[in-house]
Amino acid sequence: MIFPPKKSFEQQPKSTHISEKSQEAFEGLLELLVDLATVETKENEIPKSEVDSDLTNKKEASTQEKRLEDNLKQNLQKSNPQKLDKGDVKKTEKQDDLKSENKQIENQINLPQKQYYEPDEVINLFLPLMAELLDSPVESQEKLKQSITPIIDEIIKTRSQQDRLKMSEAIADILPGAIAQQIKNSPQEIAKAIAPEMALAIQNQIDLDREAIAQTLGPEMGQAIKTQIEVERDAMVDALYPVIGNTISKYMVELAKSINDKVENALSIEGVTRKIRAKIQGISEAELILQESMNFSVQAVLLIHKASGLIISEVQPPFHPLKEADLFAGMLSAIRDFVTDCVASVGKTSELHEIEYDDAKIILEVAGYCYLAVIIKGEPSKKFIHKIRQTLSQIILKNGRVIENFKGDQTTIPSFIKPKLEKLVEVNNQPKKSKPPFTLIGILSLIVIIAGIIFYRGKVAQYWEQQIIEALDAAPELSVYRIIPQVQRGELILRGRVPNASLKEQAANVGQQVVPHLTLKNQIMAVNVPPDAQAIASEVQRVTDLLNQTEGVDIKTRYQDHTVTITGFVFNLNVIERISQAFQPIPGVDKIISTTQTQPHLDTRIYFQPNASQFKANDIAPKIKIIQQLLAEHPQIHLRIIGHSDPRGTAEQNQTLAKARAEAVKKVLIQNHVDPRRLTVSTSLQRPPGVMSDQPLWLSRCVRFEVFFPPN
Amino acid sequence: MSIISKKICLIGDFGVGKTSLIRHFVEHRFSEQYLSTIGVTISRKSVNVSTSNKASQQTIQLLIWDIEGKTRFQPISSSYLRSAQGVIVVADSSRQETIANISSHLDLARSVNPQGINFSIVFNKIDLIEQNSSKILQKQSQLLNQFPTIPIYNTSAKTGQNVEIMFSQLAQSMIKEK
Repeated sequence: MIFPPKKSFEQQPKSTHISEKSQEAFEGLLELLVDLATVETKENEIPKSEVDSDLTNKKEASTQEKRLEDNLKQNLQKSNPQKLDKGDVKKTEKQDDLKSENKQIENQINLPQKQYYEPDEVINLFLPLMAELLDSPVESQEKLKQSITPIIDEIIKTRSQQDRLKMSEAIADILPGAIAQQIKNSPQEIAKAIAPEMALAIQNQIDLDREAIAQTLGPEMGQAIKTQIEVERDAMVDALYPVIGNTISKYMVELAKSINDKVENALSIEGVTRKIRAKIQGISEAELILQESMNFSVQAVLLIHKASGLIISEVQPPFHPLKEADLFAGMLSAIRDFVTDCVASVGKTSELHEIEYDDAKIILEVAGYCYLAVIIKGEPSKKFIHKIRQTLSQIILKNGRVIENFKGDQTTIPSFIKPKLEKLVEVNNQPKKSKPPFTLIGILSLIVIIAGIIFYRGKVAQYWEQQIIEALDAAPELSVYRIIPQVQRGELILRGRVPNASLKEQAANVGQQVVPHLTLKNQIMAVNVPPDAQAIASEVQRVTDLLNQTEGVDIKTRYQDHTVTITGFVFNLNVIERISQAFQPIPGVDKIISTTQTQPHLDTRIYFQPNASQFKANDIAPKIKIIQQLLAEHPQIHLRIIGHSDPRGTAEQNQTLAKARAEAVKKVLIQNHVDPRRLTVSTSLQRPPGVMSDQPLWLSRCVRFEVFFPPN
Repeated sequence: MSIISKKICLIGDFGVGKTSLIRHFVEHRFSEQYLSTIGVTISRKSVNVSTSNKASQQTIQLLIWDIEGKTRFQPISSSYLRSAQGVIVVADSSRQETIANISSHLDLARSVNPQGINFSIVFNKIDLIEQNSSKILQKQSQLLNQFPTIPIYNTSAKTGQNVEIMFSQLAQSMIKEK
């Protein structure tokens, strides 16, 4: 069968007249199709006896069909647009011809229609014409669609009523594809369209037979959810979150409690010990807490079929393997079932998550058809629990169906599962390599060195501090105050309280002299203490006593109205200045009056007759009294008794006479209770000081006195 | 060759001799204390059965769940029957009521495992009654009519009569169902 090229129709001028004609022809064809559908149905009902005669008719029909085909070819050739282009007149003629030919075809088809038993061939006859019609202008297409739609509806309706099974078979192949395509094109629309009906249908079915729908949908829903999780995990997580939210919340509460416990115990002995260990190990305390939480070992991991209690897969470390693992798994399943049946609340799905004994526990992570039993010694970390869940999740996602159908034959179990379980054991059972505690030794050595340095520095500081204390004590004006020196980190820190800034400065000077290499930090507070007259007098007396200890110093002081009056003798003038300065720092002393003399003076002379060592008793008595008074006032001074004679005798005679005169005076002084240890006798052949050669001789016949300070 | 594990359950009224049968058949027991605690104890026994081509042997590890018999206070826990591939319903030949309850035990096991389950009916304590007792034969005949595919055994845990055979044949039937 030959069909005209499509191009010839496309090039055909758009003519309303042609379109109308074509539409009419097409309507005829559609009616014919309806009849054919009826014929096809009836064909199935024709008795076998009639089939043979029908075959003869078919031959005739075949001949007629051939003829029809030829006519159609001719008509189509006549409608070639290349020929139509030659002129409007000629075109009109051709259109008329086409009209008549179509009419003829219609008649020919209508007449023998009941005799056609090969509908495919008839349809093929009409295909070119249908193509022409469909390629006609849009306006005409719309009209055609309007015409064709009710007829197609009618055909489908009729066929559905006549033979529902066949209609189902006819569209069954394309229906899934069509639905899939529609879901792809417009998922929202199709969901919107079927959702209410589906919901209603499911609701009705649930009302009718809840068990049946559960049994029907259960396995498929489970599989669908698994598949969907594999395809789009995040979306499923979102979808399931309301369901699993409680579980997550519980987990988070447990985690928060664990952290709280650790934080609360941070200041306990355990907490402090952990801090130290964290420092030593050079890790954060949080990390150490995590490590502590990981302090456990996995004894066995069993993947157990939930219903039967049979072991699907198991992993056990080589040391201390679990005895009778099969019985263990079975018994564990029985316990689970027992708890579920007898302990769990009615209407609630509860699970046994953990069995604890001594320092070990069995963690049970339960899925739909299987569960993981992990026997752990110690306290497992949250991280490990998460890993168990993750492992079970991966196993179920990939092998859910296999596990569901497990019948005790472990060869049916994919090899993927065992390594997964092994990882759970490996992670926590790797023996920790015991390294020599280099770090600890290093740290301890460092501590010892640091402690040694600190100890040495402490000793040095202590030495310098002692030196400074001694220096401060040596200064009379500072020794009464408690000044504390502290040497540390290259600094000398002086602390304490003194009555005035002068003493503060003086203490600083003393300290700086002792340790000039240290930086001074003077933290002594100068406090203005209200002067107490008695305390000041006592302090003045204390300083006086101290000064009198000095060689060549014999002073007396009197304090009154913030004034110190100094009297007495000193060996030389320089000492007088120092003595005055010694009283200046005493708080409350505003003024110092010094009447100190460099040497006590005794002008008294005792005269004698010529060549005699006896003196007149009435002459000597008042003089002895003066001498006694001087010695009493100045107990530290001694007297030198110097004898003289006039120059008239020989030198020997004069020497002997002068000595006798001095001894006589000494004797009298001793008789008058003068300590002989304070008296020294000497002679001089010179004239007494102040006596001239032209003056009378009796002035030279005398004994005079010199005051002196005995050596210490 | 790998070992295939199978779960089989023994059910029956209280005192019919389930535990004795298992004790006779099995050496290794987990603990009998569980029976009074949670109503089940589990034993293990491996048996060799011939495979479908009869040329080779297959080791079957039977995990035998001894489920506590029904009492006045506690029904048999159906959870323990889940996924059992073999169920042995035991009755006491000397107690008619236990024989009468065989059907209900079978129904219970079937309700828990609707498909793929191998049954055996055991008339235990056969040593206590006369050989070929007419009453027993009558009951067994009724059961055979009612459950034509289920084998029935006369056993004695005391003498060991038919105990090994009963378990072995059940294992054999389970491997066929594999």
